[in-house]
Amino acid sequence: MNRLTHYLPLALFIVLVLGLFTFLDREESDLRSVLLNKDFPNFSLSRLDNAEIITKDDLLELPSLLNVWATWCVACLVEHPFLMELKNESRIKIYGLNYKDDRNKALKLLDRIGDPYELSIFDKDGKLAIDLGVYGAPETFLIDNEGIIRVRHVGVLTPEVWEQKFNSVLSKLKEDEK
Amino acid sequence: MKNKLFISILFIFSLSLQSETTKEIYSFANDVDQERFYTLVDTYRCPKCQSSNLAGSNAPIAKDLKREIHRLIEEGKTDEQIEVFLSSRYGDFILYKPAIRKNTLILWIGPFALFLLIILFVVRWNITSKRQPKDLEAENIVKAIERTRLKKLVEDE
Repeated sequence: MNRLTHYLPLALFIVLVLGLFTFLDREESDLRSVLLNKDFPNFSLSRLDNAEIITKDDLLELPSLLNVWATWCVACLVEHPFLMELKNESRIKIYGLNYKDDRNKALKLLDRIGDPYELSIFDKDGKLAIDLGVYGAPETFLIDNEGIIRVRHVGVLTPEVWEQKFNSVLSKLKEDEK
Repeated sequence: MKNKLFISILFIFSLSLQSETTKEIYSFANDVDQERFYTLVDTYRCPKCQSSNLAGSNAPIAKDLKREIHRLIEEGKTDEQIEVFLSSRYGDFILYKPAIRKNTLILWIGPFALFLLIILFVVRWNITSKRQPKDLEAENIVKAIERTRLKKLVEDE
């Protein structure tokens, strides 16, 4: 047996490991964004601050962000200052999706730390969240002028993530508008 | 002493009974639907907790999805419709048995291809290692002949 065949199993193993790494990595981002470039799902839920029922048509200011948050979500507090910054510098409007939460607790929290949202949708049973494929909080979606989901981010929205994932898409949307 | 033991045993069992009752209970119109529900929640993976199915998970999202599956069954949806409902929202991720498509082909064919490759390798390795002793024998014969020729040459000197 020659030398080359000795190393064949090792070579195969390396190929397998590299293959699995690239394949599984790609898988992750692919599988979790089935709703990308699809219409934002319709819904009929109450506002957080009053009992008024709202639907997709009440999300007037597009393009905008939809941010999934809750009082039980610690990571949401981490991204809160950045959401306030986006609002105060009026870079983009943000709608909130209050996810599986207690209405009073949620309103109290917003009173205390500030409300970055145009309005929040009160999704106690996670109905709209399921339609969006949400499986935790925080999550952030970018919805374009036609109500189509363009970006989805699972986890804390940091300035870095904003630059990498959202800003370029948003400026392109604004350019197309002109 | 005996009494204490009896009471503590009772206490232990009462705890487990209590935890049983905190599980969500779903009622169905008939046993077939109930059977379908249990099969379905066994079939799909919890999106939050990657190594568990919906049935085995207590994550809020798993509870919500169980509730949705219950609702869809009650609405008379078929298993296929329920799968479409779930995979159009959560993708292939929640399917333990992904559909055969271009990007899932490696999952389906990969193991068989690898198995075949290993078989081929083992067979080849066996053939070459069996041939080796014979070759050695031939080599020995050649060496023996050469040795006698050398000997002869030295003797002739």
